[in-house]
Amino acid sequence: MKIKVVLVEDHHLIRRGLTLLLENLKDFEVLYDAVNGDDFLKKLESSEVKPDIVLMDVNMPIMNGEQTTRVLSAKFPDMKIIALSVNTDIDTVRAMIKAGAHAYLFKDAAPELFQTVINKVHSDGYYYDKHVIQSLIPERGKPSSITHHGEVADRDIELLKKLSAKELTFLNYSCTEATYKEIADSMGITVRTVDGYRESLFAKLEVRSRIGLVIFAIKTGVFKIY
Amino acid sequence: MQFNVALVEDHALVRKGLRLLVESLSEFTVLLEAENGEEFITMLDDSTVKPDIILMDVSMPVMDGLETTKIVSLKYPNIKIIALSVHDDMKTVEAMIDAGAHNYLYKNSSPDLVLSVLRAVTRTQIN
Repeated sequence: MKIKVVLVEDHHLIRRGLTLLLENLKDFEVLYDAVNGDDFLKKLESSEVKPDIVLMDVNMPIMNGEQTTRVLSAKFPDMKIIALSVNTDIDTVRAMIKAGAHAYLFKDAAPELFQTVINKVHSDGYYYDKHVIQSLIPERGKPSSITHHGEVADRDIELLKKLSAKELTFLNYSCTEATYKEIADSMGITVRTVDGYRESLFAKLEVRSRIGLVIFAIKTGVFKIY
Repeated sequence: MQFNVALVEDHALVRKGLRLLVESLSEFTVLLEAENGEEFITMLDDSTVKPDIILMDVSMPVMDGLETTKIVSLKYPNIKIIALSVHDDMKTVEAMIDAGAHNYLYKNSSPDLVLSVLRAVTRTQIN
């Protein structure tokens, strides 16, 4: 039985190339692809067949790999995520692993390793190479950032699980300067529907204002300040 | 007519994907693959058959696409170079065209556009 894979990658050409590569490897079936985390979450909610493996680019517009990984880990804990990036810096690797990625693969990896990593993550649940392990070792003389950075409280994870893909998209937009009218335009929905999402989020997250939404989004890593 | 293509791109996975994409068109064969400009120029000098077209990444370690394009377009003016990059700023585009690139494509371009440009470049050569 083929391993079901979804690709989340913003560059069209790379997306197509990776799809061809996966199809060429025979063990894998590409269910669909997505141009960013927001697009992926929408497709994921509307499709009956769920992927076994998500190949997740890190740098993407609208909703990046780290934000998407956090949401996926909370809502679909059985789904395996492989971060795929040109970024080799330890902070990025660490952030993705902390967000819930089960492996981190550089785009300069050999195609054979690519196949091995997907198979390993599918069979063993994870694949940590030396870069990942190194990223998880605290720097000498410094407190471990793992324990101080990126920890999401269990209660917040439970709250995150209750949100739909569209509510998560709205939550992301709420952390920007956009007015509710502008958010409605960006999401292609009416202001009235936006009002509905806002009220629903207020109730689910037990907050009373947009500031409460923003604090929740930052706390859980759904929105990241760079 | 058959055309030979060279791929100069530092990310192996991207390179492999590009190879599969290019070779999905029967008239193209990937002749050379290199992970940076320096490696490519050595390969090119050593190769008895030269490529007709080069797909050249812009940002690469050791020797980037700009430097490589300058050298290759001087040494091998008949080879057509298509720059391929994630950078969409005009300065990078202009620099690559000034260096000798015949076309500039973003990595966000559709695969169909890339294949169309490859075919268009071959028509330029025939003419």
